[in-house]
Amino acid sequence: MNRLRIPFVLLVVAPAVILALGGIYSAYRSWAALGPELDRHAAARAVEYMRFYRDDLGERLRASPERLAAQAAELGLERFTVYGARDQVVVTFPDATPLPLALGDEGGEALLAAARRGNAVVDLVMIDDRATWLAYLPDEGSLTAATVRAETGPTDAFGEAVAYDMALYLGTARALASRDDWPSELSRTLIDSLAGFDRALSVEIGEERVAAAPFKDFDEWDVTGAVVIRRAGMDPLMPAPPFVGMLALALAAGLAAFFVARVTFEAGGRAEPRRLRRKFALALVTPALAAAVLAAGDARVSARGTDSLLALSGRVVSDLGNLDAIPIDRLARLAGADAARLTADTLAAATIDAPAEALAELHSETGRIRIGGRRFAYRAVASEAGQQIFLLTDPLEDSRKTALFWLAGLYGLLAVGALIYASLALSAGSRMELRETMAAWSFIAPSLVLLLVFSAAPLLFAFYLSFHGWNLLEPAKPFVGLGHYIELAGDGLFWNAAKNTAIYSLYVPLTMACALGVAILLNRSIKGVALLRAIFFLPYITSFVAISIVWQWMYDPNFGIFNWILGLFGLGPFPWLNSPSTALLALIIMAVWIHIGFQMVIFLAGLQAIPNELYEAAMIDGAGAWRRFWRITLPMLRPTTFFVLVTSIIGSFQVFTFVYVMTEGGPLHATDVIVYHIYQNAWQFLRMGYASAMSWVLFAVIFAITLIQFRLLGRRMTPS
Amino acid sequence: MTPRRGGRSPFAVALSISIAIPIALVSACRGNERDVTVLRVMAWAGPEERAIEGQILNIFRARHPEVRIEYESISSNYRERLLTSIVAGSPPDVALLDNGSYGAAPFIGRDLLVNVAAYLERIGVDTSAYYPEVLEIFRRPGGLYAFPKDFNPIVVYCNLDLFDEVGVALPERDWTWSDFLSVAQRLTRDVNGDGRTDTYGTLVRRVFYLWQPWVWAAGGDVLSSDGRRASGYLDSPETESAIRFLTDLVTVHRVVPSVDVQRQPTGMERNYFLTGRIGMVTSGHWWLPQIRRYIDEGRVNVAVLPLPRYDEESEPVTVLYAAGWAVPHNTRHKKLAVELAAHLSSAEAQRMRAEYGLALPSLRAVHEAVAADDRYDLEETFLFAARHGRMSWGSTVEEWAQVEVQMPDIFDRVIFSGEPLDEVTADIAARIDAILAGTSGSGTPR
Repeated sequence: MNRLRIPFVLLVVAPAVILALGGIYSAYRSWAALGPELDRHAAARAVEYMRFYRDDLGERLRASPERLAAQAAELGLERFTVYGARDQVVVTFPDATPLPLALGDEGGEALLAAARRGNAVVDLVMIDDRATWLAYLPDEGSLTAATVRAETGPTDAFGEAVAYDMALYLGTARALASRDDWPSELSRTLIDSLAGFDRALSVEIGEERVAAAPFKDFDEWDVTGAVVIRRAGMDPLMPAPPFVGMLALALAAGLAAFFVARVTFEAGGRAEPRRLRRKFALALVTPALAAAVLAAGDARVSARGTDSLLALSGRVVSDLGNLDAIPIDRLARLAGADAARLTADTLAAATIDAPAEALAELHSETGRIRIGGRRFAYRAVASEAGQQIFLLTDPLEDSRKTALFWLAGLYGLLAVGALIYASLALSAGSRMELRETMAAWSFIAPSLVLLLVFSAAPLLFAFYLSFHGWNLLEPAKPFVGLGHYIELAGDGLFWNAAKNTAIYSLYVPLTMACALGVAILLNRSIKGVALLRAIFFLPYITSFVAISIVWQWMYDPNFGIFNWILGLFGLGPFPWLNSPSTALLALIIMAVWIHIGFQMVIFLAGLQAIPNELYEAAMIDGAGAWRRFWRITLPMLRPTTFFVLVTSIIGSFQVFTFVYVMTEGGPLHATDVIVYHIYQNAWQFLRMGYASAMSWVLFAVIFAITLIQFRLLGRRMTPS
Repeated sequence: MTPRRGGRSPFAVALSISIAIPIALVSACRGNERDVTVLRVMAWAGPEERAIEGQILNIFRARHPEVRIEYESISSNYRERLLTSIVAGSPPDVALLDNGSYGAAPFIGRDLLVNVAAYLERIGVDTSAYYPEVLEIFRRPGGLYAFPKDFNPIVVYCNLDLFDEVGVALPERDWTWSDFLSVAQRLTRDVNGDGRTDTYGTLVRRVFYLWQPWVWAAGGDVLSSDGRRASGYLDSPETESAIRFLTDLVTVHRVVPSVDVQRQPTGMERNYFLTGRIGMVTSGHWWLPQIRRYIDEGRVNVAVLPLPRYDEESEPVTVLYAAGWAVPHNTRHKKLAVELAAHLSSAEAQRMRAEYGLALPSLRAVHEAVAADDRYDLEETFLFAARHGRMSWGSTVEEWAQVEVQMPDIFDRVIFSGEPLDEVTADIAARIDAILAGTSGSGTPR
């Protein structure tokens, strides 16, 4: 037992302790960083909302200038009022010097020029201590301004109450110049320090650490302002990331299951199994339910976010007025945040064709719909002219799926672990047996996890892909059922590739014969045998690409060394890689040369495992060298031969590098092998789904061949 | 070890490992944000070129100390990697694109690049300084999607030593296809009388980018003028006469060693050219850095000719391949990225690159200065070729990468299988039509 203990401590306990400590430390660090992180997040969100509002406003100004003119006549220049809210949010703008605003006079001209130069349609500047949205209307060549002012109750440009979330984040939009605790020169410094960054940062201002996010002008060119968030405790409006909570829940679930499993085991065979099972199920199900509730809540919040985004876009659309360009009852697909960029033109450009049955399903004002295999959130909008437009966008709640997927995976992993433990505990005959089983499991656990994550998961994903049209560039990934497999059956090039692969795999028996011969020759103690073995092995460990290039030279039909040598004997010239009839043969010859070394080493190991007594006995009985080989060496090498055969055949079906480097499958598809064909479809034609279907067919073929090998040869090949 | 302790530990250990690993991973993935902006530049470049690009980037680094630039040179699957990185949301900030296999057209067509037209004035870029036909590749109505880096006309390199040996005078710049053939025939010889050819007139490569200009020279083309149809163009008599001329060099006149099926240039053609075994090779300016050393050492004498004209009446023509620096639309650092892209194609950058000489500067003034400073008496021909150059179809056809890979099949099927040319071109044209119409699955049904 003690013999097991030292490696166990070294290999499992010590790394586990180190990892656990590291985990705890980094969890603590993450937790400590959470506050500033949330601040930065809030600042970034605020900027996002400001941009949204700014862009939205710009589009409105441009879309309905006559309405704007009427408003202007009524209200002068201060027509837009927004927001009142919390105090810890401060908006700061660069030009803290108050500018007189009267169109036509010097200041106005300067502003106009600035707006033109900056290509800014709408921007924020400081005018008379007030943060002002400045709109430059290119068509009219005029400048319009709107003041952001602290007011109670958010209203929009046309006096209607709005539910812009921005109000929640922006707080009082206030000129920093008017704040006593904010020296005006700080604004410039802050903004300068933010130039070159596209994300919120933690910045030290005086003795205070704040989160600051750069605010850019209309075409995202220059940093013209900043949003600063000052710490005032945890932001109550910021929903706690569900990840942390669910992680905790998943851990709790795992621990609970583990605990129950322990109890199960302690009870041994005495306790009533049904009661134990119930307990165990409860321990697993309770946290799972709690997690599900949390996830559902999170999804609901996200769904509401989508709906409010659509509602906002809907308002923009209904304000656009002139929608002649857009066919009635069409769907307009909004790309997330671009909802802010809505104009009649962009809307017309975003319309997509949808099948009639999809349109028929749009019966309510808002909802979710599946079009072409993709889920959308939609909202029906009636324009002034009575047109009905359906706005589509990606449901935000769907984007939470990835996080939930991982959490569910983690939870599942823990649950499965607990289950395995419990079942082992129940079935184990003794503590010792259980302990050893568990030790074995914990040893293989890391590689098992790697296998699951990097082999099993991609495998399954490829299976999923094979039923979908999955072009990297197309957002729609429609379900095509067995379409790819059916297409595959009629794809002449695929079958050509399959044929070539099968022919190529003939190098395996060839190589095995050569390798066995070499192994027998080198299985003796002569001087320099190690060097010889190394030379034979060398090709196998050389870069395949380098080999390919050198062999390409050697195969050159006109000046290559092979044809030169053959020419000495009056043979040739052969076209080698340049002819469809010889290209595959050329690859096979090269493959034999490369793989001899590897197979030789395996055969050598096999040969050296044959007891010498057998040969001695045979020699005493008068058996000759040939008979000894036939009757002793070959039968005793069966397991080795079988291993070499199976692994090499699998390897031969996966050949790619030589084809990719040397021939690109040519000439005339003579060297097009399956894996190269898969690569071509996946990466040159970007048809991931079709390529995945091919991969699965390849898998099935290799699996079948290996199975046949095991059935036909396996029994005979294993030592008696 | 008591049973109790031993019974508990293994599973607890496994559990803590499976907990600790995700936590460690999660916390490793975040939190390491430093206050440095990282710009990634993606391009394809050999070692020498990388060194020059490094120096060019250093100038930008010196001007922007807050920026760290990572230069990624991708030697294979460039287009695929760029596409996936953009689609996956982690694009490079600046990427090199061309009008050949790494064509900008699909990126522009799918709105994956920043339109830099609005910023030209602000970053002080004067587009009139570029060769207009090079600029045109990256231009669309109302937009410019890359800053031209450089370009390459296809020309004919001649080994003068072999010409002298055989006693062939170097043809004039206005030579024709029949001149080309007769020179190639005279250069093809069995020197030692062993019945095997020792020197060849020229090379024919199946890759399309080298035979495109021959098709144009014959008055044909591979696609209709809007780039949407191949039938009626690829299988037109003019196009076929060009293909026939080239395949005849292999099968009838036997003035070329073999059709080169290799994808990657292996350096063989250069070696055969330098050692006087092949007299004429069609290639671009990128050949010059490779052979300059041999010229300097006096080991070879080289001249450059424009591609021959079809006949006495026709105009000379060649194909131009150009590259430009583009900014993916979802870069997180738009301003810096656009500034960097502009810097990479600025006059100072182009001058530094011109010294190495992989391509011709896209800025006319820089190119003319380089040509005036020519030690090898070759640049005059490149200037001439540039004036008679046309842009590759990759400039405008979004599906070009898929279309282009169909073309070598024509050579293969005519040369190896001996299929009638008109049947082959009609078949390939139908295939290309299917690709352009979007009805072809893999683009290679047959």
